[in-house]
Amino acid sequence: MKRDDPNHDPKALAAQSLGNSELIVHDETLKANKVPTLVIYGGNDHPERFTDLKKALSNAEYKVIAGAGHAGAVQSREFVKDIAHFFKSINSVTLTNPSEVDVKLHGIDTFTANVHRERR
Amino acid sequence: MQVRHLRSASFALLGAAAWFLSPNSAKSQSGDQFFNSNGVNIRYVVAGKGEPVVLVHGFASNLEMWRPLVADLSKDHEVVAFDCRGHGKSDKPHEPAQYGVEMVNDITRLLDHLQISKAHIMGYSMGGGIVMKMLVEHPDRFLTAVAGANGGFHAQDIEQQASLTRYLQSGMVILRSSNRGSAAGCPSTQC
Repeated sequence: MKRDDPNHDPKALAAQSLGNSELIVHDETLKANKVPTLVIYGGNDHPERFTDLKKALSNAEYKVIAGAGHAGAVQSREFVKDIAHFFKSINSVTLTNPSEVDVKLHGIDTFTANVHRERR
Repeated sequence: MQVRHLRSASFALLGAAAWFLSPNSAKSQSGDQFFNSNGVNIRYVVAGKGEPVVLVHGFASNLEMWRPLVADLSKDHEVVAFDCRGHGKSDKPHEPAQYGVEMVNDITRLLDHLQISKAHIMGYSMGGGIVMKMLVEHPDRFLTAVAGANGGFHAQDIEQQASLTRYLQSGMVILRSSNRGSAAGCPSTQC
């Protein structure tokens, strides 16, 4: 047995769980969704939970990873391929200035590059 | 000057990629960044360049769960992964009022902090529930949405979590078998 997160704080996790009531989503609020959306889950991860969602969020794409459970789906190669395929299928970015390359450094070895970024 | 910055950025890219690709936890710490989200320090890391992708992990997990996906996505995306409040190396308040919609607000604040107007935003398990709430509250911040293993929190989900919450409130830690995938970070299907 192993603990998933070495920085695990049970009382913080309990508080987080108690806060989930603020995160409740009523399916009818999703009917107006215009954001390209992918819902992806394992075929062994209680797929019946998504039946009502499919009616409300009917314009979303749904992918089922056959044979995968709750934890296994996200670790599968198929998950990575499905995400990559979804992104490539969406042409969602409008370049405000395609020639702009604005690189800024964050610390020693991370950075962000704003090549395809819309400035606020 | 710009060329020099790009050269620096290239080395930075290698460093950031090394963070995500390496199983060495010491290396993983070198890429840590923190920002203040309304009084709560949130850890995040950034790798790659291209359209921004923000990753929201599962319950009792942390940003490390995304390692396989980041290795792939950072080839042509700017990938931002962060520890949700209460998780990983982010601050861990014990008050329920510090969670809920504040977990959605952490994402919008992180986008603001990085000067990103819109992003692909992806969550898994608990993270998927947070993304679905954000989809309703802040659809203008999305390029696309991905909800993994969670179609949004519902009242029955909260009821089913009650026993787990009591267990955690007693100070007990969550243990799970090391030979099962634990990346989703949730012992049940509803987290």
